[in-house]
Amino acid sequence: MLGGGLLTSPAEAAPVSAFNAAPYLNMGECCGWGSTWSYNPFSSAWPGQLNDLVYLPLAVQVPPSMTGFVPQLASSWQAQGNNLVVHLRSGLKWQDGSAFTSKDVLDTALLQGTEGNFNWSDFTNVTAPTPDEVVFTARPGVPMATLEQGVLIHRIFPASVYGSFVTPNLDQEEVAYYNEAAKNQSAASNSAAGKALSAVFSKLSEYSPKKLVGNGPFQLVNMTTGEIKLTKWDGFFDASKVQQPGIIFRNGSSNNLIYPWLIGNTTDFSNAYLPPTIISSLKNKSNWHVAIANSFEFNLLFNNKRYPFNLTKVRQAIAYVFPRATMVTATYGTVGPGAAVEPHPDGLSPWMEGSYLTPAEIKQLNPYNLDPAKATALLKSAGFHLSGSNWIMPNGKPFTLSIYIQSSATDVVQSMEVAVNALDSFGIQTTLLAIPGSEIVPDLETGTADMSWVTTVNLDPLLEFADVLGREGPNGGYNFPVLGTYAGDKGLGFGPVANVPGLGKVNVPNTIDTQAATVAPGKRMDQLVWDWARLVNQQVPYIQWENKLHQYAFSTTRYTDWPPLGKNGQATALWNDLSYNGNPGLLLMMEHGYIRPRA
Amino acid sequence: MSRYIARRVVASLAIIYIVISLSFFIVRLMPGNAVSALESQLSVQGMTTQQIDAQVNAIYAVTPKAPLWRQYFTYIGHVLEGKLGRSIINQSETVLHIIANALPWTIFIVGTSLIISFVIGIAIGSALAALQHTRAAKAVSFVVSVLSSIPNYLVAIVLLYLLADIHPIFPTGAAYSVNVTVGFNIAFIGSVIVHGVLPIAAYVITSFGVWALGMKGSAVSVLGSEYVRAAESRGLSRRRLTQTYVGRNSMLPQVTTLALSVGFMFGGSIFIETYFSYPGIGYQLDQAINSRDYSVMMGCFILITVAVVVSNFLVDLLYPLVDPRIASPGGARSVADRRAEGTKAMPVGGSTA
Repeated sequence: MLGGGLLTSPAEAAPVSAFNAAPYLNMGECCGWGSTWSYNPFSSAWPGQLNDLVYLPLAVQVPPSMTGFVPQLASSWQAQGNNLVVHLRSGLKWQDGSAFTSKDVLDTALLQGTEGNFNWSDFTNVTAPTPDEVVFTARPGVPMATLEQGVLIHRIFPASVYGSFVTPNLDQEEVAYYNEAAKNQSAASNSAAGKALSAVFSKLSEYSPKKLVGNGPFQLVNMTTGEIKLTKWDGFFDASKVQQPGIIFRNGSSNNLIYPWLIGNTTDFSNAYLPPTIISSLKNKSNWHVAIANSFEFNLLFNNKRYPFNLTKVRQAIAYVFPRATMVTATYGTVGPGAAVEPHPDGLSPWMEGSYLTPAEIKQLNPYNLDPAKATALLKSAGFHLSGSNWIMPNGKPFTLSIYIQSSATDVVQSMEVAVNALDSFGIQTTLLAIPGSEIVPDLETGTADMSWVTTVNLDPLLEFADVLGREGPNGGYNFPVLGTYAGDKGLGFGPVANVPGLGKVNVPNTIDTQAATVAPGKRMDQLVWDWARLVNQQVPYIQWENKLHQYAFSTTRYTDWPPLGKNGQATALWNDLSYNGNPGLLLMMEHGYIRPRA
Repeated sequence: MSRYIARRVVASLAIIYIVISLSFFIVRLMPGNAVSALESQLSVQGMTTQQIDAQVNAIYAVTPKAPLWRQYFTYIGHVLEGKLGRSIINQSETVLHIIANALPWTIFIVGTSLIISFVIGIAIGSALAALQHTRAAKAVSFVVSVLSSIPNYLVAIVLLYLLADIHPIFPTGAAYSVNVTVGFNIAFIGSVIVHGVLPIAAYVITSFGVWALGMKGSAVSVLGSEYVRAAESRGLSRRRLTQTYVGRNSMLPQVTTLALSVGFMFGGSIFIETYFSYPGIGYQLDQAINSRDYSVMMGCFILITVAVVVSNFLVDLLYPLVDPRIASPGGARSVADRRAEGTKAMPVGGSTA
């Protein structure tokens, strides 16, 4: 679907009912959508704003637990030996009136497998023995908790629309491909099964449905480059709880577009980053409130293969000069008692530290509090010396540092400017390059930058490490990639063999990828988390300097009964769900009956 | 004349081929790629790594992986067949369909803006030339100079802030409302007009001055020419003087520029369309560049190149009709010869009556 082309036929645009008396919830949507989009959920141009509001998942995962889910299309599930048996909610219908059955789940799993999704690396087979039951067989070594996580969060698409893309032998080809991929990814891609999957996906991605047939609380009415209009669907299984007659998403492609909507009271809600000046402005308005929820991690990855960043002492010295607390204040103002500051650069978010490490272990971690004297001592011990106010490396060249960040992440830019000033003042000539998103990963993988910015967001602490230290891993890391566009590049360039506390000398990317895929929550996971946390804390291959805060501005002018806030606007459970999950969190708020139009 | 046309056709085709080839390699030499662009965009939106991977995998599966030279020859072959391929970001759309949908919007806002700014600019420029020594003309010239030097995106931001955000009189973006049904109906047409007001205003405010100043300069120069003074001394009416002698002659360079602007019009206005999320060619191109959607980028470049080359070609064809010396330099010499021999030469676009 295009940006509202004049050539669009009337049949393509859904009919619009008369404007509803009750107001549609108006959402100022950060980062928005592009000039073209597709109503095909298998397309990369699928508008993420529709996720979970039009197409429901089997279940919504609720943080911080890795094993806590709220059932949606699935009513229950249980492990039976090596199988995960998922029972579907009975009596559900799609928006075109057809019944929701296990064939929808099966076809979705098969079709998503053609593009490398639905976590096929976790299971070896999927079957639909009855219309309301689907069975996933775990791959040997994959814990049931990992399989649950991988399977249940997926949204399901109607077989009546996409089933025709499932070829007769796709199930066998899928099994053959993923079995081979578990041993040798490139051989799998070049196999007959790999080519068959690729051919199916090629056709699937070119498909352009004229309308959406979902099963969630809302139905798509219309979409333009400026807005998306959804209207409430009474066939949703929990429709009686949903209070909004509809939702209008506004395309906030830049935060600067959204701020006037807040100040001018033309929106009800925004998920855009709010700098301290905007927060102050909103605080002066009685109708505006801001919920603050912890979110993903901001990491700066060293180019560990480039001199002098291959020296542990140099990386540690830089960690001591990073003014993490000041950076957070510059980004968020005084949002509460250091909510976003990472207490210890150890690769874990603050809540993960609390959940997986004991207080005694946490006490052993180095907080790298701002300490230029320690940084000086470390650099001197590595052979560096000061010339005037600038550090000179042992090879006689000035010590310089380039940091690459994404230009559209305005909160990061704001924060990094503080860090650059601190590094410059310390005597390391630092260059900050705010570059387009299209260049961040290539520059990181090919080693153009000294330090590169990436985000990580996981509930699984081992995945959190694998996201950086792994090769591609289950979720994709940055260290010595062997597949895809960057195969053969060094990326993070840490190791690959290194002495990991508790594990000894191991191949870092291989080991963390394997552990992230096979270790379930429990004592073993806790032990491994402690091992990797010590590695990151001691050797500093990257610095996790800030836990991003999601700031949700909401207005009580037209809508009331928003989920409650804690002290100083700190998030409560439902806001945290929203922060971690995005739309599934919004879905849970609605299923709890929150966000009600004023009478 | 036919040799002249043949030369121009060959030159135009050569230019189009060279530009397409250069564009093909230049866009692929740009740092970054579509996968990284999407990954970064989704990570800023706060999606989990798993959610990001689901969308990134979809794009990775369709990203071209053949060697660049092979991609080039395949692409040129397809272009010759009239196929521009599919969008990398949105595989469910062909580039031709994307362009065909975007072009009418661009023609609507940029074309309307061009006509309005041209008419206003010519009228004001003529008046400024006619009243060039008055205080009012100097004041207006100053204002026009200032307006023409303000970047159009700045005016777009101010208009958005004042007339869409603070006083929500006009919509903040898009080409029409989500509350109307696309089709030939009053609600849709009204919505299109209302959504077009601010983009058109931003364009007109910053571009009419260029026409006005160009027209003023041209008219002042014509006013000082000998044939105008000769016509004046022959006692021709002021109306005839301004319309036939000054007006037509000073309009000629403006019309030439207008013809070229029509070519550039097909490229849309990147800044204005982007600020207003207006789904024209400029917005598509901006999004394609940001997301490294090579197919759409190339489609837009081809459109712009062909439009500019064709409009140049048409101007080239029209010129000899106005001035035969251009098509036949030998003929030009004979005109000069005849002039030297005392034959009356006719001023370009003018009259000896």
